[in-house]
Amino acid sequence: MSPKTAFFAAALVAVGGAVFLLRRPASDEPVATSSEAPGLSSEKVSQPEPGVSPRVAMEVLEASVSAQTQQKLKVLREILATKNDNDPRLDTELRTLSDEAKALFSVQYSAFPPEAHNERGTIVFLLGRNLTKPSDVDFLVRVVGEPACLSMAKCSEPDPPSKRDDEHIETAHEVTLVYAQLVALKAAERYLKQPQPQPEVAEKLRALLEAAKESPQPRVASLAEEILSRTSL
Amino acid sequence: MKILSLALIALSVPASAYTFDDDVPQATRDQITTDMAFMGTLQGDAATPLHEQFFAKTVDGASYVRFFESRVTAVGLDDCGSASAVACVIPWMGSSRIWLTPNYTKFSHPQLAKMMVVFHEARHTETARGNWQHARCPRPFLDESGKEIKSIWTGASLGGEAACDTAAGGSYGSSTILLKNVEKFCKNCTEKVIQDAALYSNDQFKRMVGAGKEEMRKDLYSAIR
Repeated sequence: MSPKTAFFAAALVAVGGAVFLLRRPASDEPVATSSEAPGLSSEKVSQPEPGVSPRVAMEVLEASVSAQTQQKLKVLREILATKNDNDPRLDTELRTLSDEAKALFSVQYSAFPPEAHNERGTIVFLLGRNLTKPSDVDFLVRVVGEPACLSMAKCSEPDPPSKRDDEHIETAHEVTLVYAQLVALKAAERYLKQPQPQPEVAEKLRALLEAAKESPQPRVASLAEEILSRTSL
Repeated sequence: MKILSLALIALSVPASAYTFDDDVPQATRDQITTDMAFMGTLQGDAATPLHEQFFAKTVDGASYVRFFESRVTAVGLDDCGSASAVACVIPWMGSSRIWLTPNYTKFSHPQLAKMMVVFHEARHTETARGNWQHARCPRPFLDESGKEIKSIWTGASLGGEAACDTAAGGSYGSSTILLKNVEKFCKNCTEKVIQDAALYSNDQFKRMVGAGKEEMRKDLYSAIR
């Protein structure tokens, strides 16, 4: 780990107390759920044991949530399956999420492989539009602290050398490889620009942006810097 | 009843002016047809002067489809010489032909990002303009904060590489103009699509240099949504 990466990870741990920063679980690896789910209320949702796979965690959580939350998850999955980013239900049925729905969606995020950039980013977008208390920021902290995705095909491996000029086509990839992280930062910006942000939430978001400025991923660092300059008091 | 159902399904898939080579998988055909149909639905009540010059007076899906279909008459399948490519134009293999790679359906890009790549490539079909060849990026090639812009693949500076545009009408420029106008003026876009338009257009704008960059800065970054 480079000094910059280590500093960035330490800074994010300081922001969110997150413990999932230094390595991303592969899609079939166990994932913690209870401590990372934003706003999760143990009274409302039966918690799976730590160490279970995302798929099992999803099944456990789905069985314990309200019919309304199950419906929201169904809509989310329908939209992601059709790959229609302009589905108006994103701005209607999925505009407002309960704590229960936020918890379920955050586990759904973990259930996707890291290469599912648009699916993951869409979930970050929805959760980032529903920041209502300081603990909601923890999910964004976790996302921004994920390790770099090295290639579109497989995050853990860089692409092999190619025959043609990759610089020509890489602009879309460069953004997509850090799409979830950029969406998280944009959520912070949106919140900080609203007329009356909650001071505690705003403080955590600013700390997140400050930490993200040190990200080893240039696009994450530069967007954090831009947002801080646009939202400075 | 079954025949009627099939007929209704057939009617729901918009016909396209371009053809597909036999080896293009059905999933790829369906995806680009769906993505282009998405572009065709976009509507807005205004646009910037450069958008009017290249597309239409307002954000207008029909003009985007016309832009694509007046340039691309055939879609083929190729690896475009790269494990990471999504699409390309190979001028000596057909000037009005675009090649999609298996990554078009495999990679998880936002829908508008895929379209940005496709419209970028569509511009490259124009032989009358020398296929809008890219310009070499200046040395050093620095971003707004003075940091060197590097290739994510090699880590080397992009300075001196043919990865920039000096004309607003080029591939980087025209697709940036399209997306930036969607961000500013689209009226039937979801908030996600609008944010995607901002993220990808602002990033691609960084590949503009020289006079084209200044022209686009005045055109695109003056009106605040």
